[in-house]
Amino acid sequence: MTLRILLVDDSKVSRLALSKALRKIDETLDISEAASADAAEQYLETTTVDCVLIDYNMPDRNGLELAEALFLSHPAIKKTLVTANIQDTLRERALSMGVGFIAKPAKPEELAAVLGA
Amino acid sequence: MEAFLTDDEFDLMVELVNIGVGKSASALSQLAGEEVLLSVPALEFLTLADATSVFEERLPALLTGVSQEFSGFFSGKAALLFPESRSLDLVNVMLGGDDFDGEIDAELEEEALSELGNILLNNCLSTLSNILNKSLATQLPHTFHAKPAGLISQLLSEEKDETIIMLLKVDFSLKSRNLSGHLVFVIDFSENGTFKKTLQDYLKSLEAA
Repeated sequence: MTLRILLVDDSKVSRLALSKALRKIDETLDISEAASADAAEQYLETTTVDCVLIDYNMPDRNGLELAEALFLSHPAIKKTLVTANIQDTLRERALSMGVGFIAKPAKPEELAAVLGA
Repeated sequence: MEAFLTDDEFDLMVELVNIGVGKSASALSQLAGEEVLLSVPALEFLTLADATSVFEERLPALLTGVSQEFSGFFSGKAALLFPESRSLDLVNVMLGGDDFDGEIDAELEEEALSELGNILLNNCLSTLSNILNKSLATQLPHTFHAKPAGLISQLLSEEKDETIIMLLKVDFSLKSRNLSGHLVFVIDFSENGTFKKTLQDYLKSLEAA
């Protein structure tokens, strides 16, 4: 079955780079993009995905705030932060919430682990 | 000017930046797919007037930069600076090199620089934060184009006569692309009392270990 992924990042370049890296792992992935937490929630009102990869530092709400909201609205979706903010405190906060953590730039093996590839 | 920090504090700061920049270089190397060469970090304390002279003397005439404001145990702005003529090469690095098949317009170029700054500056700042076990909050990256003389106004929110700038400068280069840049931290030392205390506490913890 095709895995459906939503990339949430205010940087278009980051979404491009991540999308490209993911397709190198599995070219059949169904990848969608959202440029903000609000846009992601709006997208998920009508579309289901298996996994959301979320940037932390975004203009409206940060990635953990979005993940928190998604735990309530979409508990079954796997949530992972993909961020250059690699502070231990943030990593621990994410992991304690059940949110995965990948440092930017994302390594292919870490992305593959998220996809279960 | 070095009297703002003791010799041990000064050494510690240089070493911390060395490690932090090493982490950034590792990220850049991963993006570019090649080794990144780094200079030894240079740490200086400067008045505003001196800082402007130093920038004019040592930096290219036209710069493209990405700055990121940070606050916590020390507060200020970190910036990544490149010669403006080479900014397109950096965009290529961010977009995966020669196999990017899309069109690079001005908006995408700004986005690429912004994201490159986000990754490199955050990797460095987060590493300092992790070693000292203190949190730092970072704002969104901001891209700019400036001449060295105008750099201070880009990197300081307020210019006061008594402002002392702690300038940390590291040069890095990608050999095969003939591409180099500078990482600069500008903090107003007169408003960063907790920073010195954090360094002192860390040194004490090393002595106690």
